[in-house]
This record gives sequence, C-alpha cells and structure tokens, in this order.
Amino acid sequence: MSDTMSGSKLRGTGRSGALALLVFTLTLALSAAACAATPWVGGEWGVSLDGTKFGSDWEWDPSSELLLKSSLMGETYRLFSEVSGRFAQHGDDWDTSTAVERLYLRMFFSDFDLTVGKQQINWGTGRAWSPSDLFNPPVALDPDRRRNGVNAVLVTIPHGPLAYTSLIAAENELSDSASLGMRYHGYTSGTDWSVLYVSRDEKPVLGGDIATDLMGLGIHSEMTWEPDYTRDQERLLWLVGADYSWRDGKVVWMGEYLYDSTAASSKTEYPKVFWSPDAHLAKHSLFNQVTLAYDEFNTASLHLLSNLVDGSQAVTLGHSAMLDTQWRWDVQGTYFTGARDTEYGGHADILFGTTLSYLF
Amino acid sequence: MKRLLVVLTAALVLLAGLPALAAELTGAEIMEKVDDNAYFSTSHMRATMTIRSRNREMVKEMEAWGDAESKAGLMTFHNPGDRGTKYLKLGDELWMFFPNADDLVKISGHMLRQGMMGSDFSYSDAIESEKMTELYDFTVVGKEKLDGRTAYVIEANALPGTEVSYAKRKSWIDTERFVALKEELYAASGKLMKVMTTKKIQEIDGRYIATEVVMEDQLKRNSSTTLTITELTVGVDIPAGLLSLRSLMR
Repeated sequence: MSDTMSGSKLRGTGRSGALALLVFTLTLALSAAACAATPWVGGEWGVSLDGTKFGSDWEWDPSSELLLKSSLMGETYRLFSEVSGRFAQHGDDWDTSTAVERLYLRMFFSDFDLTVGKQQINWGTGRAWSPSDLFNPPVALDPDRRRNGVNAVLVTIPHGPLAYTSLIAAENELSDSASLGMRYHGYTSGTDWSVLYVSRDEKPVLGGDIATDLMGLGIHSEMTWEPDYTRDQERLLWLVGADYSWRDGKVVWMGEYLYDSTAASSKTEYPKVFWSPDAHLAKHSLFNQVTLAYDEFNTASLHLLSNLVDGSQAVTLGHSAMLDTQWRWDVQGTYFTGARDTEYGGHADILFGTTLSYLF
Repeated sequence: MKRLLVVLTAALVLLAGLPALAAELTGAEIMEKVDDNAYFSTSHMRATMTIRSRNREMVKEMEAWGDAESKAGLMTFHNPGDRGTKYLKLGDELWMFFPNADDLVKISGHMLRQGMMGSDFSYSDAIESEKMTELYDFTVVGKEKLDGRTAYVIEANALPGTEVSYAKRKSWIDTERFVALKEELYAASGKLMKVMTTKKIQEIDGRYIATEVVMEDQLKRNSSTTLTITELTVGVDIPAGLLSLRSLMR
C-alpha cells in the first residue's frame, strides 16, 4: 500500500517512485520562489504497547514510531511530506520500517488547484464505513487509524465558496488501469451534498452523499451503485448515520447503518476468501459510538461494531488524555463476541493497545 | 434626533464639569457603543488559548480572519497537536478540516454548543458574529465598581425569534471605555452556564478591545480558558477566495 523500506531496501517503487520524483522535480522548479514560502516541520513520536489475547495467552508487541511532517507553503504552491519510521517487535523478531505516508505538491492556479503525488482523497461523510470513499476507505474496527495515501493527480475547481468539482486520476493497486473519477460537491439550504462518478477497474461507480441537520439531529448518508460489480451482479452500498449530543456537546452519540447488496444475509453464505478489500461479510452492519469528554483533557469512548447477520460484535473502549500541550496518552481495548465462525468471533478474544505520544 | 440629544447633553455635562455623561444612556445605547468597539468590518488576529483544568494546562495557537458583513470567518490552529486544523464559518454554518486525514466535515448544529478544541469557549461563542444589539433587549440595572473601574450592570434578554447561545446575559460594562469587564451567561432555565472576565484591555485603532479574557464553564470544576489576542489588525483586505472550502482544504 505504501512505499515501504525494510532495513535499507526499498520496496514498492515503480509508479510511486516516479511520482515522488516528479514532485521533487517540480519542487526544484519552484525553489526560486521559496524565499517567500512559509516552512514548518513537526510531527509525533510515540511509544506503544499492543497486546493480543487468544484463549488464555497474551502476546505483547512493543513498538515506537516517529511521524515526521514538513510543509513549505508559498503564494502559489504547497509542498507537503509525511514520513513514518517504525521500530517494532513481532514475537521474537524486531523489525524496522519506513514509509512515505504522503508526499505531494499542490499548486494554486486562479481557477483551480492541482495536487500531484501521494495524498489522501477523503470523499464521503461516513465514519466507520464510507462507500463513496473509493480511494482511502476507513477501517470500521478502528475508524481513527491513519489511512494510506494514494498516488494521484487531483484537480479541484471551485464554483463559489461552498461548491467545487474534483477530478482525479489515481493509482489502483489491484489493477493495471488507473481509477478515474469526478465528484461535484455542493451546498443547498444547510445541506452539504455530493455526486460522483468513478471508473474503477474500467467499471463505473456512481454515488453521492449528504450531510445535514434534521430536527436537531445531525444526519449523513452515502450511496454507491456499481452496475457491473461482477459479471452477473450489480452492487448497492448504502450508509445512513445520525449524531446527537447532550450536556453541551460533552456526551456525543453517533450511529451508522451499512447495507451491502452483495454481502451475505446468513453466515452460511459467507465466502471462504475475501476477493476484494472493500467487500463486507454481512448485508447489514451497525456501528455505534458514544464519546464522553469529562473535562478539557480527557475523553472516554465506546465503539460498538455489530454484524447484524451473525450477531457477532466488536466492543471497543478507549480513553485519550492530553497530559499537557505536547504529551498525549491513549489506551484502547477491543473485546470480540460471537462464535468462531462469525465475523468478529473469529478474531482474537481481546486486542489492547496503549500509546504515549509527544507532539512537536 | 436621539443622537443629537446625546451630543447636546454631553456638551452641557462637559461645560458644567460633571463626570456623569453616560449615566443618561439606555442599555441599548451602551451596548451600541460596546458593539462599535468590538464589531469590525474585517479583521485579522493571532491569539493563544490557554486551557486549564485542575493542575494541567495546554496552549493552542491560532490565527483568524473575519468578515462581519458576510458573517464569514476562517480560523487556523498552529500549535503542534492541532497544526493545520481549520474552521470555516459562513453564515450560521461551520465546517472543519482535519489535516491528518485531509477530511472536510460539516459540523452538525447540535455540536455548536461543544467546547471548541476542548476549551471553555463553545463553537457558538467563537462564531457568533451578530451585533449584540441585534440579538438582545437590554436593561440597565445599576452601576458597580469592578477591579477599580466603574461599570454599568446590564441585563440582556434574547429578543423573540433570535437564535442565541445564551438566553440571558448579565454584563458589567466599563462606563468610560465601553468594554465588557465581566459577563455572566445564562441558559433559558436561568442556570448560570459561563462567566467571562476581562483581564486586559488595549486601545487599538482608537477602539478599546478586550485582548485577554478568561472563560469559566460553570458546569465544570476548576477549569478555565484564557484567550489572549497577541496581534489584531482591523479593516484588513481579506485575500480573494480565502473564506471558502477551497481555502480550508489547501
């Protein structure tokens, strides 16, 4: 997914490397104007301990990660890079790896912005799932997990302060052909809305999303339709979500329901092997999240991810504490319920993770 | 006509050498003067927000552009934990940009009561751009000394049909500089929600501006947020296209 180095060897070059080279070349071309640019370097260093419990056995994996970000912002461009270096123990082995998470050049023209390089294309309004997020989809088990960037060329054309069109050509790691797409984002009477068309694997994907307020509730919804999903099957993905808060926003609830027309309606229909990374096991899934900010520095959260077909669940309890301006401590534990032949019952019994981070 | 009377009265008072000019003012007139001080057509500011809870403290650095006529504003955070996080306000709507995920999110209406970036200032506090006189009806209930300054004590009740963060306010307004020295903010139920205290006032471009204020959320114990304006320019030319989603995502 990302350009990864293990030791001193670079893996995953090819088109990614060519794009990186292009970005650097363009950067050099812009260096003459760099004197007027605003630079910054920052990032995050974290030390983590992750635990996995199978039956009565715990396996512990310590790790440390440095995430380095830099930006050079000029009048007419922005160069941004985000690189991670990780040192981790897996069983008895220690492993080092580095990855280019994002590396792009964004150029500002009078009528459009052009972004070239590895970037996050974050479409849609969903949190646990996002059917129209065709390039950097979230992971329902951990919606806050850092998403992989995608090598792409993106053109953003504004049509007033709240409307714009995005045109994209992005690398598709599962196929030799690039994904091509366009999305129009508009705003009407308090509602953000978008429509999109993407050609992925040379097959069309049509979709859209909205985000609005309805009788005090925040409402969001997304839908994609793939008429040629497989040779004999179309696919409809539909997500609807709502959110509400109490006690002046200190307690926030958010729920999402996902329907996948191609997924199984009973666990006997589950496929043996996933053939697509964005495939879902169950036709009906539910995500609920409650967060409690009990003071300015501490937030507790509960995520409940439910497979409505086989009844299995993943229950995640988390706590995040800002210790001061630059130190943050996170702890998270996930408990899986259900039989071994269910979606979440097939996982480890418990996942645990804690990270102490220094932000700079 | 009313303004003429005020000017004539002021002239007479000055001629007589008496100090009590503003005693003649109504609550609305006093708040108009407060609005004149605090309401800018366009502005650019840099500020810090120091959030305290018990023995912990964190500091957030921010920069904001505002255009009162179009009720629009853009706020960008620069401190390490939030660098690149931006808010765009247009009318009564608010969008947020998370740089870590290049994610643009429309903030739901009910979330506007939430503390902005974990502070005691709510999103509503931050984005309210209407003049106070457009939102409330004012009554002068007396005068008091506060930190050595004489202040009008004014009660404000929300005008019918207006959408405001606080149904009732009680304000202590400096009688000479027309700046709020203290404000108590109440819910419709009459419950005291927040107390805002001005710690520092500076004269900028002939206006008196509160450049350091402390907000205390009365629903939390031992917590406060100090907003300190470190740089303020009024009447600035806002770059074309700055107050837009395009700018938010750059």
